[in-house]
Amino acid sequence: MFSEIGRKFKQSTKSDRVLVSVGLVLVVGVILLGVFASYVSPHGPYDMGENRLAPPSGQNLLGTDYLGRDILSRIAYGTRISLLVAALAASVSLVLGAGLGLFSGYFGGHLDRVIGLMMDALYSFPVIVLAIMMAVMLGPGVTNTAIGVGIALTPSYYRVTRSLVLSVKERGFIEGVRAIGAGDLYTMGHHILPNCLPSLAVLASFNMAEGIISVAGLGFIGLGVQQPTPEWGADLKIGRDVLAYGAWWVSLFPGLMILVMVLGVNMLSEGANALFKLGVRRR
Amino acid sequence: MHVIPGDPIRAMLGPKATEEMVSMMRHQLGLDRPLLTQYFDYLFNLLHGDLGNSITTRRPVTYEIALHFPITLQLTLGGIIIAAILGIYSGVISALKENKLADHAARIYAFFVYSLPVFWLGLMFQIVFGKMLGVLPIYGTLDPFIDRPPFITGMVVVDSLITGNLPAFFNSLEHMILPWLTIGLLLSATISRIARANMIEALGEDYVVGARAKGTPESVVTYKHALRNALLPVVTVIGLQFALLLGGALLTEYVYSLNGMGSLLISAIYDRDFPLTQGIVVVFSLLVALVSLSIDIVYAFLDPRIKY
Repeated sequence: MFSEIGRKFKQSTKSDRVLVSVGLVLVVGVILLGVFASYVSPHGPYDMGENRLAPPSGQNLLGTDYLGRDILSRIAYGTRISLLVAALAASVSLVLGAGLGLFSGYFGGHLDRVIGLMMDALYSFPVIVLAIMMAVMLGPGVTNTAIGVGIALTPSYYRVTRSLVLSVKERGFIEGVRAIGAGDLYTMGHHILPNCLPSLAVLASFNMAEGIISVAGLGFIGLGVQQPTPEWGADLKIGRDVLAYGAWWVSLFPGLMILVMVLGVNMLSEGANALFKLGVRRR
Repeated sequence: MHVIPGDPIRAMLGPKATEEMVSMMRHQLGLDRPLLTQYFDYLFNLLHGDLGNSITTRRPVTYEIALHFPITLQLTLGGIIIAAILGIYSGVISALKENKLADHAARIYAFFVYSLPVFWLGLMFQIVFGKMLGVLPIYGTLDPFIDRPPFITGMVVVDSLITGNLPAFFNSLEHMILPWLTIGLLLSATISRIARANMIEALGEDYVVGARAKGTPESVVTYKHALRNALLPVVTVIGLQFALLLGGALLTEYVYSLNGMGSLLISAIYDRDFPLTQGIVVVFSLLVALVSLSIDIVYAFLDPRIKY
């Protein structure tokens, strides 16, 4: 498999290679920041200080917020939370969407139509509105945000999986396998699913970007991850509150982190999509 | 929505409400009937255009929505115009100078802008233009000391223009510049990509080669022949991205404190106002469906090759 990746890499255009490389660097960089947060942060994310709303200085490289907490530490630890919630949401939507798509495409008929209708209804919604609705139903907090955003992102996985299942069905070897006596679950899991994996992986990275922005957006409105947990969006909310004091550093840096991460993920997924010629469409 | 904690009845009646008052109010509002009955009643009313009454203001939901919808429309329309101008311009330049520096720069720009969180962009604009440079207002649709134009369309910019209220007109324009830019930039990235792709494709078509062979000047080839065809899919993009646009509008309204449907939704949620929240969501979904349908029709109109 890796030799195949290497081969495709050499055959690709320069811009695709640049996309994937830079994207990978950004994404890995942010992940490392999260992993080594304790080494990068001079203070703890919850440590309040005397120095409130201080601009960037030698003591606090990125300044402090209204509780005297160091911004650098908060965004470093916030990386963990933001990425964790986004990854959880991505997993929820992947499992749900791909699972439903698999069943829907395989069995067809009424089940397919009913699920398809529900998914179409969800799909046409702005993700942020859906995420807000979910947040309202489930309440705020880390896990609920993950579940809510996950459900909101399900429809695109459903669509991709379902169409892949249908195209695999066309190829006819499903009938052959079943003729030998393979059960439904075995067919789905062993034969159909592996064909879907590459496209699903790329879709997952597209949706990861959307997931990160949605989680941050919810935090920004106040419906997602709650204080004092460090999360980029929730910290942006603080930035908005202290806008009147001219404390630009409180808003700039968390948002910059979101931008870097999303940019990296977008570049990575666009590049990979073109590289492996998967033709996965984003929404 | 009925499962979340937080009782709107109690919130409405205040902390001194007795059990009796609460259950009486609940009965009055019909909230003590079985959930299924409430659901079917809601659907029935929906078909008659009745979305119920807001729990917090006691006025019809349709009235509340009608009051706030025009501001969202004002924001969205302005945003689309800016996005179209920016996106088509950069997309076309990109295509004309394919693989040269301008092209790469434009593509990087599009990528970058696409990854921006819209609420952060709004916040940054507010800080730079509002706080630091102090040149543009950053909250609301109109300064409080300016005479408001009457509610004709509900869109302050339009109403002030219609009634000849020039101070209000310019003031409201000032207020809308940043929100329009915020949401316009977001959309322009996608439009730029599509415009570029379609322009490149159009320039490679046979009829372009034919026109050049005829001796048509290059500028005519570009503008008259290729551009028109490249423009069409941009219309579709606007339609498809409408969901994204609505979501962005919601967040932009929140950031700039514009009293549109987005802000209404957020405050309705905080107030646990179920009918209002439901009503807004229903209207949102109707809007998305309506726009998708309209875009299909517009497309058929613009492209004589399509016949339904």
